[in-house]
Amino acid sequence: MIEAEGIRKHFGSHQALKGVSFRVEDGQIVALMGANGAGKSTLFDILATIDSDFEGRALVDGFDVRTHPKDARARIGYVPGRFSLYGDLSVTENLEFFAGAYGCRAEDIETLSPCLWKSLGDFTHFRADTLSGGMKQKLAICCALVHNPSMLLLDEPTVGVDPVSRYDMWKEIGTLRDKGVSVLVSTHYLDEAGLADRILFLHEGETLLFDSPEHIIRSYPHRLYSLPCSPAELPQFEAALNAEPGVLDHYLWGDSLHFTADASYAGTPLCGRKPSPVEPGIEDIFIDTLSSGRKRL
Amino acid sequence: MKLVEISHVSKRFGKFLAVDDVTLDLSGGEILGLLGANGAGKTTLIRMVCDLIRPDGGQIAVTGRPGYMCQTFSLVEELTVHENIRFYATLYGLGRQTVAEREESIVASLELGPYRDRQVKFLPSGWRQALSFSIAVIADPPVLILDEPTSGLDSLSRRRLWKMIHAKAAEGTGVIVSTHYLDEAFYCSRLAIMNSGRIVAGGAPKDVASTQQDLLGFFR
Repeated sequence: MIEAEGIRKHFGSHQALKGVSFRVEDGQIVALMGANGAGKSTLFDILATIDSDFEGRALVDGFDVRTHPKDARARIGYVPGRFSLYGDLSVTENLEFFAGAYGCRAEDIETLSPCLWKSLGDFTHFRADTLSGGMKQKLAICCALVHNPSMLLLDEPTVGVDPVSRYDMWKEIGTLRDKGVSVLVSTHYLDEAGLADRILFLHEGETLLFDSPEHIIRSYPHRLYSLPCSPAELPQFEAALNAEPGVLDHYLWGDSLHFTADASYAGTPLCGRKPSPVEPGIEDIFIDTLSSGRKRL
Repeated sequence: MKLVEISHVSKRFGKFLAVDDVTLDLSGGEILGLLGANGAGKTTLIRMVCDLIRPDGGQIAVTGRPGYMCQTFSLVEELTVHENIRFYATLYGLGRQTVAEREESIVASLELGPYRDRQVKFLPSGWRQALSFSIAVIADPPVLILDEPTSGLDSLSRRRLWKMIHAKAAEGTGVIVSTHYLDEAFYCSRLAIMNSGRIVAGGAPKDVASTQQDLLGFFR
């Protein structure tokens, strides 16, 4: 279990975290969301015992990360956002290095994370810096799991990872959860956030939301519409949306535009096309929350 | 007129065939999306178009010097916003007057005024990528090449960057962009999907796949 109580952190005059509290139960996945610069990585560094200069309290399985960092560290697997691997060591050597640092056996990875390790099977003799971005991330997770931690901290583990490999990683994260591991994971892929048990949404160092994806979606305040639109039609459609009374915001959505509206908009066609009402997803919530709350930097 | 013509290009690293007989072209105003699994050969192909590595076989013809934004941040982390703009603009051979004008327009459009003298390593990644993009197009290249420009960006920053890409294409710039966000495939005018070094599908996004889920099939 991870418990954070009123965590505050300053960098000079900049307040990176302004009193963040939450809890990750055993066997729970909490997705950490927020714009770039919201304070996510700062929070990870604090929980991983790397940064002890903060106010508030953080406990890992009951161990205070500031007063008992060694006990906390033994229970944490951490994959930082920046690559944590040694580029000039091979895949196997990286794993052996991390196993050695924790005083455990590298071979144990075959039972701890069979799927991820197997997917690296053809590359075990490759130097880590010659691997593709997705492979590096899989190896970094294996290195963080080798000592069988009960808490996993993953800072954007799927950046640069292709869609199929992302799916594989999440399958593995789900297996770990089912074994009772607490997982705190940040991501910008909002389809992934929907797979978590709870979402912690940080904005400029403050908690905007901490709830289950279902509750968050249910509390969406607007009507949401989708309007099919090709890239070439964008300027024309955006102009029409800007001029339409009742339309609040609009944004790109794959082969369409999504737009939010209040009750005064009656679903009238725009540029001769009829918008269809759609159910919001986590990404719609994210955009809405940020657009209404975003300030400069 | 074609701005980029790639014909029967291959590249090998030791025994590994990274790019296998690829033929592609790019016209002005087009946004060509490169999709594919990690290791499919996207970055290798992009690096050959930028003339950073030589193909083992085939030919590549590119009009002018492409603007290039690579996966790892292409800014000098220790330098400020102002210094990065000056540094790259000078490398591209822009005159003093032009550099000053371009800097003003970048700072104004990205609203970076208060952060002009901040080291770029202290900028959030959304702003860094937007700055990186602005620097890649600072010398008005006819061709713009973006390798996973939206990796690690939040939903709003990602959409802001795509607006910048669309604006450049509307001016006639030819754009090649790789991405792992399947929704972004539909922001392109044409797709080329790579698997094991080859182009396995191509065409207008709607002709290649009607949904994001369908696109996934090409990755397996």
